[in-house]
Amino acid sequence: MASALPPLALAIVAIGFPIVLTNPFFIALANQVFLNAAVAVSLSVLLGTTGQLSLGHAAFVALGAYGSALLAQHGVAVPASILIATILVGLLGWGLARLFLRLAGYYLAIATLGVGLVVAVVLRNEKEITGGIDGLTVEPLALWGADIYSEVVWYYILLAALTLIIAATLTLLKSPAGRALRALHDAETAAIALGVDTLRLKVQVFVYSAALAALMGALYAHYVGFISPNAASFHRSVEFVMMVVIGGIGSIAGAVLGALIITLLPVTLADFEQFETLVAGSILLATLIFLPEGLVRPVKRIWRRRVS
Amino acid sequence: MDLAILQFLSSGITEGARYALAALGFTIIFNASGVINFAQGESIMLGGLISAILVQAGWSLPVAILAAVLCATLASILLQKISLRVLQRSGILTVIVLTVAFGMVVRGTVRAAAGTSTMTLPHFSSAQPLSLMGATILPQTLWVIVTALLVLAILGWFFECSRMGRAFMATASNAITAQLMGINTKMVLLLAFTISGIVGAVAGAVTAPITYTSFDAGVMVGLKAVIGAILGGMGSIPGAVVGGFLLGIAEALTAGYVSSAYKDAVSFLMVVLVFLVRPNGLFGRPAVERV
Amino acid sequence: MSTVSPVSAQFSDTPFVALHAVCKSFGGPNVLDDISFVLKHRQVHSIIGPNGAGKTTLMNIISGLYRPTSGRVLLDGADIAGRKPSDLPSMGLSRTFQNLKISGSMTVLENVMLGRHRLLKNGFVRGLFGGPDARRAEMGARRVASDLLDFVGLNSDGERMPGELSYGALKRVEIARALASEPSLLLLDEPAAGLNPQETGEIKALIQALAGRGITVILVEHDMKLVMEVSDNVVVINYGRKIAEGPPEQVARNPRRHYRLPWNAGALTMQDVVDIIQSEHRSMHQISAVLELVCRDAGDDPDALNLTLVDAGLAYFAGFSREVHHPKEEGFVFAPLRGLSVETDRALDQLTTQHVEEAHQLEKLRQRVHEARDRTDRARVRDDLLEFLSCLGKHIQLEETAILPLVRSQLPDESRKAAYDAFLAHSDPLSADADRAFTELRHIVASMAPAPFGLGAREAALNTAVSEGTVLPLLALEGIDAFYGSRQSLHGITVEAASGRLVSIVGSNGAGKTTLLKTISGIHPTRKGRILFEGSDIARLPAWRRVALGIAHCPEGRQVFGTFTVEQNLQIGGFTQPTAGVAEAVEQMYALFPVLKEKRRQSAATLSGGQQQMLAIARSLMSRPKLLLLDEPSMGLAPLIVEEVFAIISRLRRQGLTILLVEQNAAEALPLSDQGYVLETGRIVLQGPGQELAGNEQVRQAYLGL
Repeated sequence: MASALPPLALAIVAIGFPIVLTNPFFIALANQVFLNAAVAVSLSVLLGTTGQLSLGHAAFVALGAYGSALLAQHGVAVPASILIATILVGLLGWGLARLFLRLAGYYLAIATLGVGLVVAVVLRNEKEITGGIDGLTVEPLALWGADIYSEVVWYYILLAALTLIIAATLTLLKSPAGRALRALHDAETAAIALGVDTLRLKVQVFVYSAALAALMGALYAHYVGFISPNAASFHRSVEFVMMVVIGGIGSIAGAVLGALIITLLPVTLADFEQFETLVAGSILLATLIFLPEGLVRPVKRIWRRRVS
Repeated sequence: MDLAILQFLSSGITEGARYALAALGFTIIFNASGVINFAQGESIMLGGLISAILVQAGWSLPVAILAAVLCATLASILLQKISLRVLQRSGILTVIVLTVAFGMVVRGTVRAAAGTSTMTLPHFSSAQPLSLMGATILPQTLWVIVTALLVLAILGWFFECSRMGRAFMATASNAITAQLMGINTKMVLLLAFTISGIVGAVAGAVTAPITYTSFDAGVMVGLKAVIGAILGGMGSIPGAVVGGFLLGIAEALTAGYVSSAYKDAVSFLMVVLVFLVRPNGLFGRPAVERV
Repeated sequence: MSTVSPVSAQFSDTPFVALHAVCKSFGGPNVLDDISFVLKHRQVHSIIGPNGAGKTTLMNIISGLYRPTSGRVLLDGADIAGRKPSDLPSMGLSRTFQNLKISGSMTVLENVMLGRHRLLKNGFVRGLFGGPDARRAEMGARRVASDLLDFVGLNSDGERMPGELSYGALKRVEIARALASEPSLLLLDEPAAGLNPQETGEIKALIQALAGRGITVILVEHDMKLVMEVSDNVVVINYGRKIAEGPPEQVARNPRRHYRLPWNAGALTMQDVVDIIQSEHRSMHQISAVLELVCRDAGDDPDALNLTLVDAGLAYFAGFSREVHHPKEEGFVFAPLRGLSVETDRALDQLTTQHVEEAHQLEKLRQRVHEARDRTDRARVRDDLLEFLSCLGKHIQLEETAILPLVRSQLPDESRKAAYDAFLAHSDPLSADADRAFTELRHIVASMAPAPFGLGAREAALNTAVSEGTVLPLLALEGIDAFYGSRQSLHGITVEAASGRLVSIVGSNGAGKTTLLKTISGIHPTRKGRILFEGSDIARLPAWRRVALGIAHCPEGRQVFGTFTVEQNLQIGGFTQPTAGVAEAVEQMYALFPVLKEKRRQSAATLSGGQQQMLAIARSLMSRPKLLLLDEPSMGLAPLIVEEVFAIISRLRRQGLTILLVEQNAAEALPLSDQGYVLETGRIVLQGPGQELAGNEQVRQAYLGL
C-alpha cells in the first residue's frame, strides 16, 4: 500500500541514523529534535483540537526538568522522579485549566503566559533550591544499575519516547474521546448535545499536553545533565508554538517537521547570531501568510492526488 | 504617610502609565478587530529605541521622537495590513500567532540593525530629582504622568465626542451594522492600529529616560499590557487604563516591600485573584452568548 | 458507560416532557413568558410561531443549553434544571440544529459516530491505549452509524467529507447523528429550512418513520404543510407566550389576526363569516385590553390616566362599531337567524339592545373624557370606563357562545352573495385602503399603550413628511448568485423595484431572503450578476459607499447599538450626512417617533423590542435613503406594534420612499405591496402584484398559513 511507504522509510532512517552517522554532534542534534518534537506534538494536539494557545509550554518543560532533578537530588530514584514530576505538572495543568477554561476566548493563553513568567522568575531567584541563573547539575538516568551517558543510548530512549507519544496521540484521536476532541473546533455545540462533556475533555487534553511537556523536560534534564532557567523563557514557549504552526496546527507529522526546522535553524545560522530572531520570525510570518495550513497538509494533499 | 510609599507610588505610576498606554493600544485593536496583539510592546520599544538612536546620531529630541513615532506607526499599520489578509483566510487564532511572529520580526530587525546594547534617552527637562513632600521625584516622572493624562484626555474626547470616534465605537460593538451606517470599517481598523502605534511609541519615548531601552524591551511591556487589559476587563477602555496603572503600582509596591525579583510574578497573581472574584475583569461585562 | 434507557414508553399516555411556567430573559424583557405544556410519549409534537416568537430559545431550554430564568422542565418526570447539557443525552434526549453543526474536518460517517459517544467507552486515558476491545467497539459503532446513514438514505456517502454533500443531505446527516445516541426524545430544529420541496418530502418521510422507532419528536418548523402532515399535536407560541395548543386541524383554524375576504363571493363560506366576526372581536379586544391596563395602572392615581389614549380608544370603538362591525352583525348574522327559536330570539333582542346602549354609553363616556378637569372627574372616567369594558366583554362573549355557533349550521346559503358584498363594503379598517381615521386612532393607541403591548410613548405623531421620491426605476437585480462557503444561497435572482414602490419578498426560512437584502446593501458578496441602482452597477462597491448612494438597510433583529444612547444611535445613522444636517434630521425622527424623543438619553439596550424596532427604522432613515431595505421588521413584536410597523411602512411608501420588504408575515406584507416576489431555496419562483400574490392559492397555502 502506498500510504504505508513513507512511515516505513522513516522508521528505517530513524533506526539506522546513529549507525550510519556516528558523529556525536549529529546524534546530539537528533536528540534535541526528538525532545522538541514530542513537546510540539503535545502542543499541537492542544491547539488543534481546543484552539487554545499555550504560551507557557516551556514553563511546563522546565518544571518537569527541575522537578525531576530536585527529586533525584533528594534521593528519589531517577525513573521514579521523572514520573512524579510529570504527575505534579499534570496536576498544575489541571488546576489552571479548571480555572481558566470556563471562560470563552483566549484567557487560557494569558494564564499560561503568566505561569511562564512566574516560573521563570522563581527559577531565577530561588538560588538555594534551583541554583538561580547558574543552573543546576542533574543526576544521570540510571537503568539496571548503570548510569546512562551515551548519546546513542539516549538517541534510542528519546526516539522510543517520541514514537510512543505519537502512537498514543494518534490512537487517542481515533478513539471516541478523540473524535469528540476533533469535533470541538467547529461543532462544539453539537458535541455537547450528544453527551460530550466538552469542558472536561478540554481540561483533560490540557493536562495531557502539560504532562507530556513535563515528561520531555525531565528526560531532557537527565540527558543533558544540566538545566538553567532559560528553559522556561517566553522565547522558548514561542519556539514551541512556531514548531506547531510551521508544520500545521493539529498535524502530528507537522509538529515533528516544525521541531526539526526550528531546532536546526540556530545551528545553520551559527555564524549569524544577530539575525536569528529575524530569520525565525520571518519564517513564521511567511508560513502564516503564505501557508496558513502549515507545511505538511499541502504536501499530503499533493501526495494523495498523485497516488489516486 | 510613609515616605517610602510615596517613592514606590511614584515609580509605580511611571511604570503604570507605560502599561496603561500599552494596554489602551491593545484594547483599541482588540475592540476594532478581535485580535489579541502580542506585538503591542514593540511599538513602545520602537518609540524609545529609535528616539535614542536618533538623538545619539545628533538629531534634536522632538524631531527624533516624532520620527520614532512615525516609524512605530508605520510598523503598526503594516501589521494591520498583514493581519487583515490572514484573518480573511485563516481565522483569529492564526492572527494571534501572527502578532507573535510580527513582534519577532520587528525585534529581529532592530537587533540586526542596531545591536543588543541598552540605550537611554536624555531627560526631557532636568535630570535633577525634585523634592515633593519629602519624597524625591524625577521631573521625567512628571513628564510621563502629564503625557499619559494628555493622551487619555485626547482619546477620551475622540471616542466620546468625535464623529470618527463614534464610528469606531459602533464598529467595535457591531462591525456589520456599522457598515450599514455607511462607516468604512476597514478605515476604522486602520485607524485603530494607527492610534495604537502612536500611543505605544509616545509611551515608549516618554518613559525611555527612566526605564532605559533595548531591542527586547518591548516583550515584557507587551505581555504586561495584555495582562493589564484583562485585569481591567477585556475590551473595556477605562478598564485597560485602570488595569495598567494598578499593575504598575502593584509591581512597584511588591518590589519595594517584598522583593524586586518577584515583581514580575505579581501581574499573574493579580489576574488569578481577580478572576476568582470577577471572571470578566474589573470593568468587563459578561458576554451573553446565544446559540 | 451509561446504559440508562429512560423508556417508560410502554405507557404511551403518560406525560413525557412537561414544562411548568418557563420564563427566560437575556437580561432584558422576557423572551419566553410563562410557557407551560405537556407532551406525550411517541408522538410528533410541533412548536410553531413566527420568527422571533421564541421557538429556538424554547428548544435550547428543553435541550439544556439555556437555563430557564424561572419555571421547570421535566423530562420523563425528572427535572433537568441544574443538569449539565451534556448529561441530557443519557436521559434520552437528542437534537438537531437550525444552522448545521457538523464538523467539516471529519467524514460523514465519523460525524454520525460522534452520536454514539455516550454509548461507547469514551474515557480520555482509555483512548490513549486502544487495544482490541476498543477496535471491536469502534467497528460496532461504525456499523450502527452506517445503518443509520442507510435509514436516512445516504448509504453511499459515509466516507465523503461533509463539504461534498448538499445542504439537504447534511440535514439528514444531523438526524442520523442524533439517532445514533439512541434517543427516546428527538428535537428537530427547523429540519426543512432551506430545503427544496423534494428534500422536504424526504424529511417528512423520515419524521414519519421515526414514530415507528418509538421516538417522541419535538419539531420546530415553519413549513406549515409539513407540520400539519406529520404532527399529532401542535403548540403555537408568539411573542414568547403560548397562544394555542391542540391537534393540527384544530390549531390550523386558529387565530390569524386579520381576516381577509376571499377573492370572490363563491368562495365565501359561513365559516369565513364567523372568522371575520371573530377577528373583529379580537381587534376590539386588543384595544379593550389596553384600556383596561391603563385604568388599572392608574389605580390609585387618577391623574396618571392618559386621557388622550382613552379618548382615542373610545373613538375607535364608536366608529368601528357603527361603521364596520354592527352593520355586519345586525344585517347578516342576526337578521337571518331570527325565528329559529325563542331563546335565540331573546338573545338576539338582548344583543341588539346592547348595541344601542353601547353607542349611548360611549357617547356619554367620551363627553365625560372631554370635560374631565380634576381628579374626581378622572376617577369617574376610570370607573365608568372599566364598567363599560366589562359590559362590552360580556356582550362579545354572549355573541360568540350563543350566536356564532348557529351561523354555520343555520344560515341559509342564498345569503352568501349579499353577505359578501356587504362585508366588502364594511371592510376591515386595517386593510391597505383603510379609512384613515381608524388608522390614526389605532396609531395613537399603539404609540401610547404601555410597553410591551405598545410603545409606551406619551405622544403620538401624525402626518409628518420624510423625503420626496424620484421617478427613475430605482433598483434592478440581474442574475444575482451568492454563496455561503461552498453552498449556493442565491441562484440567478432577478428583481426590480420601481421608484416609490413597496416591493415584498416572501418565502420560508432559509430561502435566502435575508441574504438577498445583504447582497443589495453589500454586506454579503455577490458571485455573479449585476445590481443596478439608479442605472449604475453597484455590485462591487463596499457597503459603506452604497449607504452614501442612498441605500439604507434596516437589518433583521434590529441590531441597535446597545451601549449607545437612542440619540447616538440616530446620529450614527446619519454618518454619511453632512454634520450640519444631522441634528435637524434627528429632530425629524423625533417628530415621526415621539417615543424616541422621550428615551433619547437612555441606552438603546434598555428599550423594549418594539421601541428598538422604531429606533432601527429611524436610524435607517437618518441617511436620507432613496431605497429602504427592511428585514423582518415585525419579528417578535406584540400584535399592536406589528400593526404600527406596517402603518409606518405604508406611510413611508405614501411619502415616496422605495421600500424592499422581507417579511415572514406574508399575510400582512403582500396585500400592502405594489409588487411581490416569492423566494424558494434561493430562486424566485413566483412574482406579481402584491394583492394578486396574496390571492394566489399556492402562496396562500405555503406562506399565509391558510
